[in-house]
Amino acid sequence: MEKSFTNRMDWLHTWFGLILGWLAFALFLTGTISVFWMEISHWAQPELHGAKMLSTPATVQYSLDYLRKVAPDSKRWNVYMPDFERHPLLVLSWLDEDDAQHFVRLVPDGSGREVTTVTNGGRFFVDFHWTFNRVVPDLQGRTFGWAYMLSGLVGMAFLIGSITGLVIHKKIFRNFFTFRHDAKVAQTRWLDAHNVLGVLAWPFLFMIVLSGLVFYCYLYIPTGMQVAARYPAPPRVAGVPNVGGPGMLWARISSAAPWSIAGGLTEPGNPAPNVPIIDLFVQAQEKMGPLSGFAVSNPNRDNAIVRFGGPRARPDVITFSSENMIFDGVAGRVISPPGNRPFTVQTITNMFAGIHFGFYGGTAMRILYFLCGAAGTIMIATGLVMFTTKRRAMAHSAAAGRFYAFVERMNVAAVGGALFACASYLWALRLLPQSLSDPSGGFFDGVYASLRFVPLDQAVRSDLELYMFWLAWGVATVHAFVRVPHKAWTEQLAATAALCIGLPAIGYLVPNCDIGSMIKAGDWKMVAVDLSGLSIGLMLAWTAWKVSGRRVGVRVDKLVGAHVLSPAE
Amino acid sequence: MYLVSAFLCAYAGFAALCSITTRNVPLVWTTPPTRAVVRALRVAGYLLLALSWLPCYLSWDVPMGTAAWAMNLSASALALVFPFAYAPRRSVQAGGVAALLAGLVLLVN
Repeated sequence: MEKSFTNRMDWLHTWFGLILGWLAFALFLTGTISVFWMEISHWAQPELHGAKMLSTPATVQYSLDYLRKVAPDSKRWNVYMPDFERHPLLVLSWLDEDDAQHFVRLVPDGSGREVTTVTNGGRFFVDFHWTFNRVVPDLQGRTFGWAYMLSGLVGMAFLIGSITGLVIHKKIFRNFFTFRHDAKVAQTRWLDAHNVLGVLAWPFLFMIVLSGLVFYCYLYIPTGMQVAARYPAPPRVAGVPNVGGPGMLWARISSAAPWSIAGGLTEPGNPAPNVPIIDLFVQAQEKMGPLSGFAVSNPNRDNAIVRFGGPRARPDVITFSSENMIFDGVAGRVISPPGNRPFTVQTITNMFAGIHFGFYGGTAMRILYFLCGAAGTIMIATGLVMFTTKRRAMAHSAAAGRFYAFVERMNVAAVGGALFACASYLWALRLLPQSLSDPSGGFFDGVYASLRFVPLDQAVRSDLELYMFWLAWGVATVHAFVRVPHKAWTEQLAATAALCIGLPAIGYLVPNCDIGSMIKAGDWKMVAVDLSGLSIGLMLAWTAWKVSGRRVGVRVDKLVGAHVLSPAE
Repeated sequence: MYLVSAFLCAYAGFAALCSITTRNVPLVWTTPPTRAVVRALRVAGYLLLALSWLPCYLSWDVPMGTAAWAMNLSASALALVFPFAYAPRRSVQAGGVAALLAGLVLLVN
């Protein structure tokens, strides 16, 4: 039988959408949450809550005093400036006599308090939504995996879905504002919701998936990188912290990574007075905007060099930047001015990364990202549900019936389970004891969220958080296959709603996390996460309630009689 | 606050366009609108959608404002569609109020 173009597109949309939609939902959900990952990291570290932060210059001075005290003879100091708006964590690191790297996480309030909660925080959502917690990129440690390829596949499938979706929709403008919530056929209700969400958020959805794929295209199509790797790599700087995460890949193609020092480490010279670094800081900040950090090699020696990293992600520019400014630490003259011209590839990558990460434009812009991302997430969920509502009644064989039942259960496990797992993870962030943290764990500003599969007695806090996430998802999956789908939907959504609504409440069980005193202290970042959890929980509760009544909820007056067109009567 | 203004403005624009979509006319109007009214609403609708770029531009700059404008259009259209399904006339009437409020918020800024 000859099939029309639309039929073919329909097939593509249905099956790519279904099979990869199960993963796509989890990716979109965590991706949407990770819009606010820095705020969630702040929320997860009670030491930072409500602290009276120093000003930027005072933070610089404080950091230098601290380093002078703990490591006066170090060959290099590094200061990673806190992001006062989103995640005010100050990280200092230095090399000891054996060139081993040490770092300390501090509260930038001048008290010298350390942040002892070493947690995946919001970083988990970022890393999950493209690696599924399976380690990926560490060029020195070489722990590549293959799970990220799966997210690339999902991204490609999403692009296919978004284009085929437009093709098979056909009545885009006639149905632009159509959501027939009282349609007699359940299929119509789900279809309308799916269409409306997909069409209205289309520009955002296409852009976010495309940019996500493009800025890591050298991971998904690694040939170029592999060819490049045959050429000698730029000399590795001694004592670079063994960081995981995408940073190492960036460092591979950009010699301008904030922690690398031009020319590597030199031997310390003779003691000599240096110009005040704070003055250089002010100069660099005037040229480049809010600085991401700086490194001093051979501090207080006659060959001291100070390198300032410009803002990696600037609030006032969409594209990422990687500017640097290098000063002679003794004379205070500029060795290398900012305004380096990155390679074309890097410029393009930076642009797409800037679009995808949404670091620009402040909180208002991120709220838009979040809303549009949420629309995409719900769109995927409605699409998955639609697959079964459309076919449940018309299984033409026993095998088809069994398959549709399986799909229905998988839908619960994928949608309900992912929601439940994310909410459980947030509970784990709040409730796991801080004493389980491994203070030397992770890299400087967080932990790269990958599963380590260590036994429970060796697991540190950041491992347990991940275990909780996957355990919760596992439990939800079993539950989805044991219960009747209709009940499983209700119960999982209700459980997730309860967890989300409970987020502000469990803050009272942990010191410095209760919402009441945080409002008094004016820590709105922390309060906002709690309140968002609460309001999302209320929406989920409403959804659970609607789902629970769905089977009997069709009112008699809706079933008989024509659709009332005019509300005027 | 600029974003609030842009949101209200785009909502008003979509409400105007929504009320003259063929399928929705009987949901909103007791007597069918005249050709002139339809044309006026269409022009007003597109104009308001375009105008909602202004607060975005004022809050950010041209590239970022345009990005915000596009996302704001999605968000405000979704904020119209779902209430519209339950209370069509109210949602459209709210569009008129939204247009006034959008201007007001912009002025207060």
